[in-house]
Parts: sequence; structure tokens; C-alpha cells
Amino acid sequence: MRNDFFFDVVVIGGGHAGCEAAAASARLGVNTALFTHKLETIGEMSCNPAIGGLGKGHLVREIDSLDGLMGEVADKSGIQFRLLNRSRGPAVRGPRTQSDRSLYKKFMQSKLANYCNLSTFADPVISFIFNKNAVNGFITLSGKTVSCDKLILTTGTFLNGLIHIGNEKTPAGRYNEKPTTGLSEQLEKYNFTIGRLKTGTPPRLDSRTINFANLEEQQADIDPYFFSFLTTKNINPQVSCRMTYTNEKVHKIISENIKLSAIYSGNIKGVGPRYCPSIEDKVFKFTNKLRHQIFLEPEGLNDHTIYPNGISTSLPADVQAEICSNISGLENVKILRPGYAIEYDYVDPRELFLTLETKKIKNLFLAGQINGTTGYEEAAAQGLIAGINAAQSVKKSEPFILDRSEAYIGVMIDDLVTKGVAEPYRMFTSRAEYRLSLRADNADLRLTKKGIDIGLIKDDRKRIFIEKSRNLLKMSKIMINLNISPSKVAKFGVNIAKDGILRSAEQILSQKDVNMSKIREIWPSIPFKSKEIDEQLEIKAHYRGYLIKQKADILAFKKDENLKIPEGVNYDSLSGLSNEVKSKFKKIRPKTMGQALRIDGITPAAVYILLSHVKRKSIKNIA
Amino acid sequence: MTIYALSSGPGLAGVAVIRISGYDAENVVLSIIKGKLPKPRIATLKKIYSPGTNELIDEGIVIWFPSPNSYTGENMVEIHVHGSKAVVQSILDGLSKIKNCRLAEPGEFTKRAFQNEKINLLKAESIGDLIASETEIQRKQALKIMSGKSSDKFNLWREILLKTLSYLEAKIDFPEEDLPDGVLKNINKDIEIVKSQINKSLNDSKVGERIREGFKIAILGPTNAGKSSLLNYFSNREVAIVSEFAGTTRDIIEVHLNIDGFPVIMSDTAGIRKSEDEIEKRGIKLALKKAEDADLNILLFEPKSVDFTYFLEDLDLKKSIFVINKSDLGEKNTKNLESYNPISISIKNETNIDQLISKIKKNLKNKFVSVGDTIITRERHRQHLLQCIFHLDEFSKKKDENDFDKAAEDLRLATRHLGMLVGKVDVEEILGSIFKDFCIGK
Repeated sequence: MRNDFFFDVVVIGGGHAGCEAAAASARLGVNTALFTHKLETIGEMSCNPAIGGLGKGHLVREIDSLDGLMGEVADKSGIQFRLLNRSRGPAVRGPRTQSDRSLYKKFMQSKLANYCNLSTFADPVISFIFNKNAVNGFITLSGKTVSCDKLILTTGTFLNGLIHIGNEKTPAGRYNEKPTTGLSEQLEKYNFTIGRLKTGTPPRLDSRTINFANLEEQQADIDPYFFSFLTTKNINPQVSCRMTYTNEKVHKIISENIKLSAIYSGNIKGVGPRYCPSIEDKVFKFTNKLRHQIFLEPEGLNDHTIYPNGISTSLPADVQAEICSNISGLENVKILRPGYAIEYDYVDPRELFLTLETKKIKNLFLAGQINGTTGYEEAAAQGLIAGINAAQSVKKSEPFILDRSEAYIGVMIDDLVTKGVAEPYRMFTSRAEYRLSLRADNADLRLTKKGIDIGLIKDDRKRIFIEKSRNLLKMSKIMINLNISPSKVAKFGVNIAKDGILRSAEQILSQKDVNMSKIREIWPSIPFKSKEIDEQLEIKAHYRGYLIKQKADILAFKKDENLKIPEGVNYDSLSGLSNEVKSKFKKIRPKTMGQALRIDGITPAAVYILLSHVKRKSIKNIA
Repeated sequence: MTIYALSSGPGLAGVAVIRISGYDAENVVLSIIKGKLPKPRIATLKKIYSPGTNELIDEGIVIWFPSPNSYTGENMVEIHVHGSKAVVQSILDGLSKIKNCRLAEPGEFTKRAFQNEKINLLKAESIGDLIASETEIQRKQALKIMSGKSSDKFNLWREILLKTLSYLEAKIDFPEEDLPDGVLKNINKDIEIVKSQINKSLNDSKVGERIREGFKIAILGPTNAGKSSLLNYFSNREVAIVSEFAGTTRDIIEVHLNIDGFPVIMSDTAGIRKSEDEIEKRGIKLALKKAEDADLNILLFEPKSVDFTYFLEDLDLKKSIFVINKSDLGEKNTKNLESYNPISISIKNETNIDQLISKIKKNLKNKFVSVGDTIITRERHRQHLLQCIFHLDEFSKKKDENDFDKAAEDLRLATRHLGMLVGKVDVEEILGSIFKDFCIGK
């Protein structure tokens, strides 16, 4: 075989998953390449121009804690920082920003260019080269043969992508971009379960033709909350979003034309997400709702494009125009590009190990939308994990797996590989059992050390992290060792039960309306290290009791969770399991007891049988 | 694996029922009957052979229950044969020789029914209770739970909490959504309703557990008062070692009795005296603990030991009946117990024991009054409900906006305990509830 190139790890696709995968692999020091259709679209935000939100913002903080790219790029391109749920408790605060689409791309591309062991190529892949049950290379459109140790596939919506606008169907990965064909078919030969999902976008509007005068304004926060632990200041001017609403007239137009919508005409077979419905779905399923809100989001500082978040649609272009012209502020709007629905192939993520390597084809990793997820952040987080594990595997090092008690990333990947998806998967904080522990504010404390241990973290971040950890430890020690009696602390306006029992500064901090400045009023000797450290101490005090309980739960969880199930369990020989359960176990081959328990349709009783089998085995091994 | 077992009682009987369950039950049964399977759920007379041979074992009724319409939810066959030990043994031996076929473990058919979601956890428990029931009142209770009396209630509460939780979670996960006003308004009201209902069912004097486990009576008293003799009398069995020497019974001995249809567990305890013997001291401690846990104490004295009352201060005298034994000895030295209204009996001569029994019965009836609404039959249920209430109380304490996430955590934990009670926990249910009720998606 003629070899034009060899790389340790090759990433196919330059979206959010691809960028993180390539960078993570390169950070671990292996020779990495990224192949994509066009270099200019690396880091493209193909849907709405925003990063973060609830659950998603948590993911970005975690990516950043492992030295990923998304956090810093979002900060550098951020034009409307907002911390959602600011007042509802630290665990559910979700950082979010509107990003300038072109700045985002620019900074992402320059970040990638900084890695000297990462090469990028604009050359689409047309077919894989397999060796038995392993992939070891591919052939590109220009005819190159590339060999590699590990291959990470991050094709997003490009895998047999099909765009619908009304009755028109166009094969495409994004608007005006060619889809990837042939690869799904190659995978299908290995008996991969491949399904079809759907997502949609709204029409893009020209801001110069919108009358903003009477529309509500949503401003950026005055003190921006950044995604990256390294970002210290904001570099861009901040813009506002405006809000408008649909109305009954609009709903009438939609109802009258509903048959023309690709979703309702039966043209679309893929399943769409419940939390991101098209305007057709909203009007049709929630008939008692008289108006639906629309956020008019600017796509950039020097860009006239407005992304009207809330009216994604697959109605014909002329109907889209009629809808818009009946919405307050959009009476004379010019549509730059119609909204569309897109259907694409995804691989059932139960085909994957927790490392995101496929079970059926060795050395092949999948990340991002191809695994049935939706969203930039979800894709990036998977890219990061696939990139790390591909490189770890090249280096013959241990796999890097985060569990549900450690990170939202762990929750997501565990959900994907054990439960599969029934609709495009999006992160929510409600998916996390240990929500109070998995906060955006402590992502670095949860993860950066793990990254340092495998050599994933660059020096500047390592230094900052170690200093922060040290200071936090020092302060915690001081706070535990200072004591005060209830009567003395009452003089400072803090009222606790007068039982004569001394309380530590840490305990006093957990009282209502006590913060670190109050604490320093009581104990002026307590040093000030940084605002961030004070905030950590305050949050820990806020959740006192809850975090202790959660820690106990996590320990109990980890005990069974981490009980390893041996590779070669013969599920057929386990008595008491129904055939359905057996076939599920055989398909998923859970690695730990915890994973077995979360397989959809698996009852606790079935896991108990497995548990007793595994425990019996391990006792035998000792004897 | 296909499992089989003799499902009727062991020993000589008119009819014996053998059950076979598993994906392959069809082929298993075909190897012991010649020809075709009977029509589903129709009792059909068949000849039963040793598998794969022409050796006839017996003739009997075969009923075929194809999956999922069977007790276990799997393919199932019932074979009714003559209840001879030899016939049953011969069939079981035959089945054991078939590949992938083995004798079921105790309770395994029900376990499979639970795994295949034919029954929920509570129903599985109550089937066990029904099988174990010894008295009418136990049978009735098990049947009620089996028909879903408790699980309907628990599920209803769980649904209310899930709904409420989904509103909080929607507020958290979709802060920018235009959710209907007043979504959070009714939450506190709903929670209070659930709380008061759970509290009401917790306030049942543990009748359900008492019925399931038996009404606990402890016989307590100084050494040599005749405690073991009394127990023996009630049980008509020699369960405790009765001897002339004081301090013979050191451990606790229990008998299950059926008094007027009420299940009773009566226990004999170590005699109480000032002792230096370590083992005996431990026995006495155990006796006092037993008295504390019991629903009724019989405090048994004899005329010689009526002064020995120091231990009474540790006991709940309201649930105690005072009895003075050995009235046959003719001693009348019982004055210091007069105020407790003791019954004077003689176990030896069987004097006045009817009076004691009628006093016990009266006591029993009072304790079983609220049987009608009882839904808690196990300590497990009670613990989960208590935990649920604990977290709901914590939830109700949260007033501050800044505690929103903690309040949601309280509600999550409360809901989780109800889920553990009925055997289900799933975040997808919460998400499903959110997307059903609200138009989410900007």
C-alpha cells in the first residue's frame, strides 16, 4: 500500500468536537493531524452564535479545566456575557455568552496553529482502510492514502446530511456545504446501528431592516463571568439582544401552511429534540400559548446578521417571509438565508466504550453530533475525551474516564454509552445526580489535577492552579482553627443558639447573611488571597451539610460503581436473567457495576444477580 | 436458563403442580410430552414421559402460558400430576437432565416476574407475604397490598413530587424560557398535601408491620416466676427449658401464636435478678430491650418475688399486664402490687388463665383498630417514608431565592426515597414531565 502520510492520531472534522480532539491529542505530545473540507470553516458556529447556558456552561468550564480550547475562545469572542440563574444558588449558575461568529473562528484557528505537532489539511475523507476489525487509515478526495494509529471521526451533521426547506430537499452538511457520503455505509458493514436525527435553524435576518425601537432589550452583565479560569478581562465591546414575540396572526399563518412544512409533510424521518422544537411544533403542540418569545441575537460586532432564536422552521421560504413580516419589529425585515431542518446519520452511542472508541472497530473513535448529541459544548467535551483517549492509547497509557460524580462530561458520556439516545442529547443540570458538587465554579478543583497527572495541562495553567489550591487549603485551615462563642459573635450581629458551644469561622460562615467580609470583621487577622478564594469558601459554607451528605452518597456510589465486571463474563450462563436483559448486557458489555445499573430497562434485581456473580468470582480469585 | 420447581407443597397430595419458566420452556415441555403443545391457557390432558424416551411417568394436565401472558412474563408451563413423591421426583429428575434447565431457587419465579416488570417491588413483597400468611388478617392484608393498594398511593405521591420537581428543574434548566406565571405558586400547597398524607399513613401505630410480623408480647419478670411455663402453656409445646432452678432461661425464646385470628409472637425472656454472672447480665439487658420493643408486656411475679420491682421504672407500664403466678401456693403477700390491678393465676392448676387470655385479647383488638387504611407493612416502607418527610420538611424551610438549588435537592431526595419504595428512579421521567407541560426552546 502506498503511504503518503502517517500520523499517530488523525481527526476527521473541524467542528467543535474535532478541534478539541485534535488539540487534546497534540497536548499529550503525539503526532496529530486534522482533516476537513475547508480550512476556513474550522471552528464554525453553524447554529446559534452562543456558547454556554445551563449544563452547557458547566461543560465548557470542565473543558477549560482540562486545558481545552473552547473556554478561552468563547471568552475572547464573547460579546454578551450573562450568568444565568445568578440568584438561584451557585450550583445552578450557568455561564453563557453571545459570541462573534467570525472572531470565534479566528481565535479557534489561531489556537490550533499554536500546536507544532498538529497539522491541518483541507481534504475530505472518502473511505476508510480497515485491517480486519481495526481501522488503520483512509483515502482522501485528492487521492492521498493516510495511515494512522487512531482515527477520530467527528462529522457532525455531515454524515448523509439532508437539508429540508418546505418541499425542497438538498444533500448538505451545512447550508451550502457538501455532506459526507459513503462513510456511514462503510460503518454499516460492521453492523453498526445507525439512526437518523433531525435538527433545525431559523431564518437569518438583516439587522439593518429590523425596527428595534419598541423591542425589549436584554443587556450583558456588568461584571462578566468568564468560561476560562485563565481569562482575567473582557476584550470586546458588549452588545444587547432584543426580544420580540410571535402572535396569533403568525400562529394562524403557520397552521394554514403546516402541510408545507417538511416536519409535517412526512418528508422528515429523523427524530428532533423536544427542547428545541420548530415554531411549527410549538404552535401545534401548545395551542393554548398565545405567543412565543424570540431572542434577536447579533452574530457579530461587524456583522449585520441576526439569529432569531425561537423560530427554527422548515416551512417554505415564502411562508417564512410572511411569518416574519407579521412579527413586531420585523415588519420590513430582509431574510438573508431561509431557516431549514437538517436530517443526518448518527451512530447509536451504545456502540462505544467510555473512551469513545467503538466496540466493533478497534482504533476508531467517534465524538460529537455523530453520537446523537446536539450542541457545541456537548460536541467539544466528547472531542476532548476522544482526543485524550486516542493519544493515551497511542502512548499505551491508562484510559482517561470521568465518572458521574466527577464531571458533567462523565454524566454525558455515561448516559450516551449506557442508555443510547432517543432524541438529540443535550446536557441539563437535572441529569446530574450530584448537582450540588458538580458546579461551574469548582470545575478546576475537580478536574485540573487529573489533567496534570497525565501531562495534559500546559505550564501556565498548572502554575495558576497549584497556587490556587495551595491558598484555598491554607485559608480552609485558618477558618477551621479559629473559634468563637455564640455570645461573642452576637456582638457582630450573627445570632446562633446560645448554647455556649464554640463555633469555628467555617461554621459561622455557613450562617445566613454571613460572607467573608463579615468574617474578617470578626477576625481581622484572616488574610485576603483573592476574590475567587473567598467565593469558594462562601460556596462551600453555603452547601454545608448537603456536600457532606453528597460526599457520603458519592463514596457509596463509587464502591459499587467502580466494582469492575471482568471482560469475559458469559452472560448466557448467568441464571435468573431474562433473555432481554442478557442481550442488553451482551450488547453493551458494561465495564463497571454502576454502568450496568444505568442501562435502560435493566432492573436493580438483574444487576444484583450480576453483582453476586462478580463478587463470587472475585472471592474465588483471592482463594 | 429455564427453571423448574415443584410449586405445590411437598409430600403426599392429590395433585402436585410443577412449573417451568424460561425462553426455552416450550422445548423443555415438548421433550416430556409427545406431540404438540396444547393451545395457550387451555388445560389439556397429556401423557408425561421421561425426556427423550418412551418411558411413561404419569398422566396429567398441561397448561401452556406463552410469553408475556404468564406469571413470570416468560414462556411458562404448568404440569399438574398425581401428588406422589415418586412421580414428582421422577419428573424433576428428568427435567434436570435437559440442557440449560435447572431447579429454581426459592422465590425465583416471583423474582423473574419482578425483573420482567410483571409486578412492582411492593407486589413482589406482598406475594411473599401472602405465601407466608398464617392468619386470616395477614392474608387479607397481603392481598390488599398485592392488588396495588399501597403502590397506588406511593406512586400517586411520587407523581405529585415528580411534577413539582419538574417545575423547579424547568426553572433551573431553562431560565430564559417564557414559562407560565405561577408555575411555582401551587408547589408549596401540593407538597403540604403530600406531607400530611404521608404523615397520616405513618401515624398508624405500626398496625401493618404488626399484622405482617405478629403482635409482640414479652413475658417479663423476676427469676423463677414461671415465665417459661406460661409460654409453654400458650404454645402447648415444650419450647423453653423449664427447670426448678432460678435463672435457667438466658436467651430469648419466641413462639408464633394465633390468638383469635391475630398473629402473635410471644417471647420468654431471662428472669430479672441482681446477678454477677456476665452472661446472665447480658440476658437481663436483652429482656428489658425486648420489653421496650414489645406491643404488650406480661409482667409475671410469684408471691415470693413481689418485692422485686426495681426494674419497673424502666418499663412502659401502660402496655403491661401484671400477673401473679402460683396462686396454688396460697400465699397472699401481694399487697405492694395491688395498685397495678394484677391477675392472680396458677399455671400449674390452670386457674384463672382464661381471665388473662381475655385481657390479652382486649388489648389486641385495640391495637388492630385502624386496619382499614394501613399501607405500610414493612420497616423498609416506613424508613423511606420517614426520609421522604424529612427532606420535604427541609424543602419547606427554604424561603430564600439563593437557596433555590438546595430546595430542588431536598425535593430530589424526597422523590428518590419514594422511588426506592416502589423500585424506580429515573431522570428521564422528570425531563418527560417538563417537555410535556412546557413549550421549551428558544
